[in-house]
Amino acid sequence: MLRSSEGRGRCAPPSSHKGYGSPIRGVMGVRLVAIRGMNVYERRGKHVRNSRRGRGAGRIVAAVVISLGLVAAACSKKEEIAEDTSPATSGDPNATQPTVTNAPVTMPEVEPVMGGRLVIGGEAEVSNPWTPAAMQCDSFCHMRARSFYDPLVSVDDELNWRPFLAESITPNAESTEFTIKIREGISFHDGTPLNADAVMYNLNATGSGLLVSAGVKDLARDPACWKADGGLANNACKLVMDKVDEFTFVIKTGKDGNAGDPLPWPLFPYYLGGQFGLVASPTWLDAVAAGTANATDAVGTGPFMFKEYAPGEGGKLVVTRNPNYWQTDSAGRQLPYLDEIEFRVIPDSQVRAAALESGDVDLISTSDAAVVSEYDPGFGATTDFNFLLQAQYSETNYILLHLSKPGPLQSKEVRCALHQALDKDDLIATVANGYPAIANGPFSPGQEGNLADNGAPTYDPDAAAAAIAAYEAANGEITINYSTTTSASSLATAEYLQDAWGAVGVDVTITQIEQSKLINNALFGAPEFDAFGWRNHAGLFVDGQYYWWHGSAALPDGSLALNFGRLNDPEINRLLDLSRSEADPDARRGYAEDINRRFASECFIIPTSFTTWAIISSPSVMGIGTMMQPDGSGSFVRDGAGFSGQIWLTSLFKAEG
Amino acid sequence: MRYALTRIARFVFVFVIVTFLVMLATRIGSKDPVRDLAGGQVGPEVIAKVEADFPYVRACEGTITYAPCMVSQYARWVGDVFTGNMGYSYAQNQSVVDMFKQRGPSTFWLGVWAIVIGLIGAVPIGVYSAYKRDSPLDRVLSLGSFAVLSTPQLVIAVFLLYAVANRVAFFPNIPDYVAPWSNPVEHFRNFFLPALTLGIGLGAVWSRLLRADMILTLQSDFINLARAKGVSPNRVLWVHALRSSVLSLITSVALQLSGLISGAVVAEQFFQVGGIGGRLVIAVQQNDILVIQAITAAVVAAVVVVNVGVDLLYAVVDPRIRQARALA
Amino acid sequence: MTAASGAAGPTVRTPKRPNRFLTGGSVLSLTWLIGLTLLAFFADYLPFIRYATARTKSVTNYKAGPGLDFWFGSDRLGRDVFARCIYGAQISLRVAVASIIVGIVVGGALGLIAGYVKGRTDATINVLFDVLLSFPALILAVLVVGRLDVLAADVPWLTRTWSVTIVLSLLSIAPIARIVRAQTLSLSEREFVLAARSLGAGRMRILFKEILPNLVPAMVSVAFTGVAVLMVAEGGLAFLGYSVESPSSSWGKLIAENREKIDVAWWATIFPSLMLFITVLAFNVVGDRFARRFDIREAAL
Repeated sequence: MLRSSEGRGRCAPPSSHKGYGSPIRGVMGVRLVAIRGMNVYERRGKHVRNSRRGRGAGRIVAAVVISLGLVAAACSKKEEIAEDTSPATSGDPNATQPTVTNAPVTMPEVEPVMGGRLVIGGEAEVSNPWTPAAMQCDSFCHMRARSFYDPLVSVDDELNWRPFLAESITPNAESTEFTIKIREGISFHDGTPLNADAVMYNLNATGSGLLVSAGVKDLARDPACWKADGGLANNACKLVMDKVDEFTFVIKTGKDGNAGDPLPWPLFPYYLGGQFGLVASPTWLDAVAAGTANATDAVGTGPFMFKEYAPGEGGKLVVTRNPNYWQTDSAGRQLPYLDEIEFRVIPDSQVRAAALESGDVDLISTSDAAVVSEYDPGFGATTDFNFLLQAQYSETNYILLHLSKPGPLQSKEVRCALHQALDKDDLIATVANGYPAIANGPFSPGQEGNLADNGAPTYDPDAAAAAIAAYEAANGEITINYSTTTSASSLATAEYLQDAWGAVGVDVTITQIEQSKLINNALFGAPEFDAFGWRNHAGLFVDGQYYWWHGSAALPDGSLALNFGRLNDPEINRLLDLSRSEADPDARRGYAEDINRRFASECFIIPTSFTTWAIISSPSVMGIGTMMQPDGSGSFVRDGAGFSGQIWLTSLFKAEG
Repeated sequence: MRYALTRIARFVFVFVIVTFLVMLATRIGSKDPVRDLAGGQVGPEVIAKVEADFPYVRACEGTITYAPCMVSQYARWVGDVFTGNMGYSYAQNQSVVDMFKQRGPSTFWLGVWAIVIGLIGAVPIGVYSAYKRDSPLDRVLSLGSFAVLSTPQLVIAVFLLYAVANRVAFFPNIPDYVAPWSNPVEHFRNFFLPALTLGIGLGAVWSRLLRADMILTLQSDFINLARAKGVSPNRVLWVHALRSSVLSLITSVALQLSGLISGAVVAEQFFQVGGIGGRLVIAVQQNDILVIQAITAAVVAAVVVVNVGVDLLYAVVDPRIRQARALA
Repeated sequence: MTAASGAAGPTVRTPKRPNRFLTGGSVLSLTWLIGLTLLAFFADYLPFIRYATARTKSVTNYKAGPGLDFWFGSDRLGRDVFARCIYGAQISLRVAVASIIVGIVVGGALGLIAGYVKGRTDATINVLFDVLLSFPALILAVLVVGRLDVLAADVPWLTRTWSVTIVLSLLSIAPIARIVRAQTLSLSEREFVLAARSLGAGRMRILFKEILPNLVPAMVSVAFTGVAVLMVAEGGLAFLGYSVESPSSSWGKLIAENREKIDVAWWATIFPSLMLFITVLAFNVVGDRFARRFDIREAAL
C-alpha cells in the first residue's frame, strides 16, 4: 500500500514544524513535492530556465565531500510545510512568494508497477572498493551502497533510530552495552546466511578500517592491543563483542577503546545506520582479502544485486533486483519494485540536469544551488519534474582552516578578520544564484546546536582590514594558500575569496587540485594546506561530528587525521565529551549550542552557506519517500539515512506510459 | 630488409626512452610513489600489499644507486606489461587492462570517425580545387581551409557546443559508449560532435595537401597519356589521379596522428566522452602511476607503430621514396 | 617523424600567386596583432579598459550582456569580459612569445649543429627529436605541468606561468630544430657556401656569416606560425585545468571558466574564443605570407 497523505496526517501545520530559523530565509524546512509524479505546486512565476545548459564542472562552493556517514543524518521532513521561504537575497525578480502550501496532496492511489529500469545521476565519483571497511563514501556513494547493502539501523519519521537489518537493539541502562539481535532467515546475495557471526565480522572489519575506526573510537577494543603506557596501539584492534546465540550479540563501549572504562553512549545506534552498520557477505569479504574476488563486485543483503561497475567519469554501476529480498511492502508485494537501476556518475551538475531534461537519466541528486534553484517552485521555478528538497540536517559549506600550522591562521584576530571580510550575501548571490541560506556556524537548520544568532562576526571590511594591518605590522605579510577542486565554479568561489581577502590586505594564492588529492591533503595535513573550500558536517546530533572536531582526532601533519583542521580546543573537546554521554536531549542541545558559539567566537572555520540538496526526478518516477519501516510500526524510513542527497530506492517504481 | 630492421630498431629505441622518461616523471616530487599508487588515504597494511604487488613502484634512493634502481624497476615494469599485467589503478579500483577495455573503444571510434569525417570533407574539396585550380570557388575553399586550419580545436568545440549541442536536442548530454553494430543511431548521437571537432581540422589539412598533390599529378605524363587514350575526364580525375595521391594522404594520416591524439584529449574532456584521454588527465592529477605509464606507453606505441607502418609501406611501394625519406 | 601540429600546417605553394608580402590579408593581420599588442601591454594606462580583476557588484552573475558599458559583457564575478580578454591577450602573448624565443634559440642551435656537423652528432640529435615528437604535444604538456605543480610546492618562483612557459618552450624545440636542420642541410650544399669553403673560410665563419643570415627569413616565418601553434596549445592546456595562476587569466582559461554558462552568457565564452581564433589566424597569415615571400619550403619532414 502506498501511503496516502491525508491518512497519515503528515501535512503538519506550520506551527508544528520546529523551524530553526536562518537569518535570511526564515524558517527552513524540507519540502517534499509531488511524490508520485504530481506537481502539487501552483504554477507561478515565469519559466525562466533554459532547457539545455552548458557543460562544465559545476558545484557550489568548492564542494569537497567526504563523509563516513557514520550517523544517520540527512533526513527529509516529509511535511508539506507552509513556510516563509522568501529568498531574501534572490537576484531573481521572478522569484515570488513561496509557492508551497500545505494543501492536502490529493493523489490518486497508484498501484506500484513491478519491473522497469531507472537511471540515476549523481555527483562526484569517489572511486573505491565497495567493501564497507574501505569505502570512502560521499552522498551518492552511500545511496548506491544502500542498493546492495542493508544497514543495521534506519531513522524513522521522528528522527529516532529503529532497527532495520537488526530485529532489535537493546541498550543497557547506562547505554554502555548494546544487545543486537539480527533478523533470521536472511541470506546474502551469494547464499551465505546472515547471522550474528556475519554481522560481527563486518563490524570488526569496518570498525578497524582506517577511516571508520576513528569515528567509533569509543567502542571497547581487544585489551591485548594495549600498549605498556596505557594507550591504544591502534584502532585496528578487534572490537569487544560477545556472541549470545546464533543471531544475537552484545557490543560494548569503552572510553578511547578501553574496555575497562565503559562510556555511556546513548546515540551510538545511529552509527549503525551509516557506513559502520552496512553488512556485506563475509564469504565475499574473505575472498576479497584473499585476492580471489573483486572488491568492486559487492555482495550484501540489499534489495538489489551488483551487476556491473565501471569506475570513474563516464562510468556506471548497474544493479539488478534481488528476487529474494527479505522485505515486502504492506500489501505483501515482494520488494523492490524495480528490475534494474543504473547509476551514472555525472560530476557536472549542469550536465546532470540537462541529462534529466533530455531523458537520459530519470532521477538526479544535486546540491548545486544554481541547479536546485532552477527547479525549486519555492524559488519561482515551474517544471513538471518531481522536486524533493532536503534543506535540513545538511552540510555546511565553509572554509576549512589549518589551525595547528605555525602562521597567521593561528591568530584568532586574523581568522575573524577573514570572516569579517566576506560579504556572504554578495558571495551567495554571486556564486550560488542567491539561493542557499547564509551559514553562521557549522550546524545547518534542524541540526542540534543550530542557532539563529551565535555571535559570529558579520561583514565589516574596515575592521577586517584594521586587524590584518595590525597583525602584518607585527608579524609581516600574510599569504594564504586557498585550495579547491578543479571545477569552474570552485574557481569562481576561489577568485571571489581572493578578491575579498585581497581587499583587506591578505594575499591569496589559489591551488586547484583534483578532489581525492584535495581530501588527501587535508587528511594528512599537506604543507600547502592553509585553507580549503569544504563541505561537511551533515547530521542530526553534534555527537556525529565528534571525530571531525575532537582534539583526539587532531593528529599532527603527516598522519591521517579526520580532524582536518587540526582543531584542538579544550572547550570544544569538553563539550563534545559531555555531549557524547548525555542522555537528556535538552542538555545535549545546550552543549551543541555552546559549541556553535565557541566556533563563532574563535572563528575556527569560516562558514559561508548551508547546502541545499534536491532530488529531482522525471514525472514518471514514483514512490519516493514511501519506504516503510520493516518493523511493521507504520512509520516510514527517512530518506537519506546516511546523509543528505539520498533517498531509499527500494520503494521506487516507474509509472507506466 | 635491413632498412626495415633499422627503422624498427630506431622506433623501439624511441619507445623505450619515452616510456622510461614518463616513468621518471611520475616519480618527480613524489615522496612516496607507492602511496600515490595506493590512492593516498590508506593504512600501512594496504601500502604493504600494494608494494608487494608492484615492487617496481618503490621510491629509488641515493645518488649513485638511483639510476640503476630506476632502470631495474623499468625493466620489471616492461616485463609485467608484456606478460599482460599492466597494473592496477587503486584510485579507481580497476585494473589497467579493464580500464583500456572500458575506455579504449570510445577513443578508438572517436579517432576513426574523426579521420573518416576529415576524409569525407577533404577528398571532394581537394580534388575539385585541384581540377578547377584558381577558380573563384577554389580561392574561397582555399581561404576557408586556411581559416579552419588556424582554428583551435577548443574554439571549434565551443562553437559546436553553442551552435549545435545547445540547440539540437538530438545530441546527448552524457555520451555513453554504444558499439556501432549494436545501435548505429545511438553510436552516431554519441560520437558525432566530438568526432566533428577533430575531423574539421583534419579535413582542412588534407584538402590542402590533396590539392597540392593532385595539381602536380594532373600535370604528369601518365595523366596526359590517359587523357590521350580517351579515358573520360571524371575517370582520370577520380581514379587515376586520386589513386596516386592516396599514398601522401596515408602519410599525412600518420603525421597527424600525434596531433589527433592531443586533440582527442581536449574533445573527450569537452564532450565528456568517457575515453582514455580524459582518464589520463585525471590520472596525472592523482599521480595514478601505472595508469599514466600504461596510457602513455599505449599512445607512444600507437604513434611509433603507425610511423613504422608508413615507412614500411613506402619501402614496399616505392624504393626511391624510401631512400628519400631515409635522408630526412 | 611527425608533424608538430596541424595548424603549423603545410604552407603548400601554388604557382602563379602574387608573391608580395603585404597583401590585404597580411596587412589586416598585422594591424590586428600590433593593435592587440599595444592594447594588451598599455592596458594599465588606457582609461577605457577596466582592470581585469576589478569587480562591479551590480553586474555579477553575468548580468551585463555586451553593450556600451561592458563591451563584451560581464562574467560571474562581475568582471569586464573585454578587460579580461585584453589582459588575457597579454598573458597568452607573453607565454607564447617567450616560449617561441626559447624554441628558436635552443631548437635553432640544435638544428644548426645537426644539419651542419652531420654524422653521429646529427644522428644523436635526431633521436632526441624523435623522442620529443613521438609524444602528442598536449599529453606531454599535461604530464610535465602536472609534475611541475608538485615540484612548485618547494620552489616558490615556479608559478604556473613559468611551468606553462617551460613546457611550451620544450614543445617548440623539436619542430623548430627539424626545420632549421633541413634548411641548414640544403643551404650547406648551395654554391655560395661551397664557394666560401673553397676560399678557405672556417666552419664557424661559414656557419655564422653564410648560413645563419640565410636562416633568418625562415625563422621569422616559423616564429609567427609557431606562436600560433603555441597559443593553441596553451588554450588546450588551460582548458584541461593547467593554466596560469588566478586571478590572471589567459584566453584558454577564460573559455574554460565560463563555458558552463555558455547558454545564459554566450559572450563570456564566445569573445575569448573569437580573440583566440582571430589572433591565431593572424599569426598564421603573417607567417604564411612571409614564407611565400621568401620562398621557404616547409621543412623536408
